[in-house]
Amino acid sequence: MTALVRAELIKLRSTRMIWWLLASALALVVLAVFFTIPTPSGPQAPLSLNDGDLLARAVGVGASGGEVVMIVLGILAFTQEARFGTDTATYLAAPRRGRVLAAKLIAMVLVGALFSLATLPVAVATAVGLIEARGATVAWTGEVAAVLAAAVIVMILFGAIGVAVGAMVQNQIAAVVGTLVWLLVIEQLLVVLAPSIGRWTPGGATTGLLQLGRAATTSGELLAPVAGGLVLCAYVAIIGAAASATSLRRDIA
Amino acid sequence: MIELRALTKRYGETLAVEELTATVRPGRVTAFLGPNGAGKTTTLRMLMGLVTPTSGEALIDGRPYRALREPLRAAGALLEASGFHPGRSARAHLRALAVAGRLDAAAPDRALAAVELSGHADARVGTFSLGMRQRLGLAAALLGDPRILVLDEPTNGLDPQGIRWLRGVLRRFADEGRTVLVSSHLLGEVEQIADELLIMARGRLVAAGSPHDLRDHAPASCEVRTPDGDRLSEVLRGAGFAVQRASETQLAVSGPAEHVGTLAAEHAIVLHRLVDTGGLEAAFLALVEDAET
Repeated sequence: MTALVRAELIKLRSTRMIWWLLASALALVVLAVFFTIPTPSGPQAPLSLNDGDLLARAVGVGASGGEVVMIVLGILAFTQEARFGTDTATYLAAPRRGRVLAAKLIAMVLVGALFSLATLPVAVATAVGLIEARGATVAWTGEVAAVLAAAVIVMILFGAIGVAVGAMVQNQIAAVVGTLVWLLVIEQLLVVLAPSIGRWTPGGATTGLLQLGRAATTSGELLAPVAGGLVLCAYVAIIGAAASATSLRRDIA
Repeated sequence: MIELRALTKRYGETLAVEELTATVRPGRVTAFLGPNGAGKTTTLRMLMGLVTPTSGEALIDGRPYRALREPLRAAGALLEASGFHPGRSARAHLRALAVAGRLDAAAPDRALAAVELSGHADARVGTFSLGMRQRLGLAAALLGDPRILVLDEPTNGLDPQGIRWLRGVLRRFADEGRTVLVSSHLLGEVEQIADELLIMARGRLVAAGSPHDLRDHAPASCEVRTPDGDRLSEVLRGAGFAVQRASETQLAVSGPAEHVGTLAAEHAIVLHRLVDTGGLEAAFLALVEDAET
């Protein structure tokens, strides 16, 4: 299995795609933080510059920029192989496809951790810089550390969900567009309109995991952090198992 | 050794491969022939564990490919429609495969040298010509120094020099006691190096044997050019041969060239050209046509 994971890491390192996605993740993180920190004159902002947990919340929101990129990177692990026909060579070297799925999941866990090392310091630095530039004092609460730890887990699990989705839906455009529409449109609506369902979606579970629920309007409707993490793990397991039983068995022709 | 046992693949109503049974032995080059759509590619993909047979089995050294412990050392394959990421270098492509197959670290560079691509090892595959991609595909097949080599239409994109070079590679491989199975839809491409032929048409095996065996089954035929096409046609038809008139002066005759020449001499008909068109090509076409009607 170590050999297959190393092979997946070589594949990831040997094209430019991963660097473009890392740059996108950093850009999204900076933008997300930028729009979360209120301006001093901004009327009726949901957050004020004097909120004690402003830094934690800004970092939590910033992490969501990276998680979208991680899910896309995860999806591409399988769909790029199908698109360029490298799946033939991959399965000649490793004919048991369940092992290839496992190797791609493990590789993506490592990449998720590495991406976090790049994106989370940028999220913190941007947030601290903006809060200070806008004349408020930065409050380093214990919650910041908790949100950072949760954000690393989210990055890792979104990458893994992406791998499972890509194994299931190997058409690259369908997988990426479908996932983005689900995450950015359908889920957002569900969380607001039907929180009892919305909290079980990946996005809802992530919000619970990131402990952003306290001040949110859907307060009390979100899952506890541990439950949120377990729900994300369950998505990886269920979609991965479904892919192993169906699309991963298909003929490669 | 490769064994196919009643190998069958059905796609909906279509039988792509039907009850195919054959053995491919080491030490020889076995050509896998048939027109496009005969089921060769599907057969080879079943052999390599990429397509699941509807029934029957395909074995490599006695085991299905998916059950091999070190698949790249057992069999290397160059298959059609297998591709490369255009942004990845040739070396990185092979390195990922070598690592996955637990081969030694020098395997990628050795394989690149074997296909004469060492000078392009770090170039992105997107910059490669069709012939260079084909060589890289062959390098991937050779990567594990395998006992069995399976090549699907390997001459695609190769120039005449490349084809000759490939023939040399296959010959050496077989002479070392290894197994070579190479598919083609053109008999002429493999005729010179094939020790054994497997001929497939419409999903079924229609012939198996040495080129010599097959040539013996060929219907005799020849082409004639004569200024006196009418009279020669009459004479040949009178002798029981089927004659097709390509033009006033050209005839295609379903009979041995010696008989046609003798008959023309007996009737004092001038011939400008007489070519034997029988042999392996005719046998191949006849077998394929029989299967398709």
